[in-house]
Amino acid sequence: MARRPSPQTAAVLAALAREPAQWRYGYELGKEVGLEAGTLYPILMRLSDRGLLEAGWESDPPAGRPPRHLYRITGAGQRVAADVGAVAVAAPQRRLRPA
Amino acid sequence: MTALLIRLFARGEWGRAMVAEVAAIDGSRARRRFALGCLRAVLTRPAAWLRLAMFALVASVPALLFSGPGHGADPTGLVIVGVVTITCLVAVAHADPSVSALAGGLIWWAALLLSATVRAHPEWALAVIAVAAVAGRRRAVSTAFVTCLAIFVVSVEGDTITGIRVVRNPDKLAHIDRRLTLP
Repeated sequence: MARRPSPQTAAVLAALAREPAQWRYGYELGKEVGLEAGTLYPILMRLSDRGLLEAGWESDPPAGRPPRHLYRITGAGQRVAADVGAVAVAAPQRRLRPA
Repeated sequence: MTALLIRLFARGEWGRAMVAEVAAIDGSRARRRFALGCLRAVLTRPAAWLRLAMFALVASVPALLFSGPGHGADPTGLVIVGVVTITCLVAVAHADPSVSALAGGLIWWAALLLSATVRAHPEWALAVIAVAAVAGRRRAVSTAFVTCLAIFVVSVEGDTITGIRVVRNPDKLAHIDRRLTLP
């Protein structure tokens, strides 16, 4: 990723990187990182375009409901998440230091 | 309703993803909120705006025809144009979401509206389809087809819409040019 990702993008990457093998749904991912669908989906689309995220479809949806889209971080995504995560973890520590 | 709009403007993988996600949410309030967010997300894509422009352009041909003199009191023409417009809009909704294909269709429509010469040559539209087919772009063919419907929309005898056929005589649609050039 050429540019430093936005805090929202970093939050999505960090959430996906916490359980890299796990496929995630858009709605619960949005709830976890506190993002509305209007912000979350453009981020997911960008991450997918850049190969940082792989997408798949639910294989066995309940009757009467279309299969949901699933997301999982890629190896490249994990490397970016690690780079961004180092900064994200360091920043709160500075803020939490007593005055 | 929101889900319908999402499907309309976001063809392909992401549109299906959003609709499926909305359908899986329990609770109508949360569902509505998520669906509106999805619609906002869809409108960040250039293809959605191109599609919107295509809808507007498709609708503008019968609108221009009916705003011409003497067309308001023509119920048969109204029904014909209504049916054909809906057919065109459905075709646009099912056309390829790729930006290049939609942009091509958009330019074609604009040319149809602005130039009597383009309208007078429906064979050009057939050439577009042939070129698209030869190039192996199956989806481009659907877009080209949609754009070609413009030529087949309505035929006008004097001030009255009389049927659907290929418009070969540019004079029949001359009042569109007049309206477009009015100050």
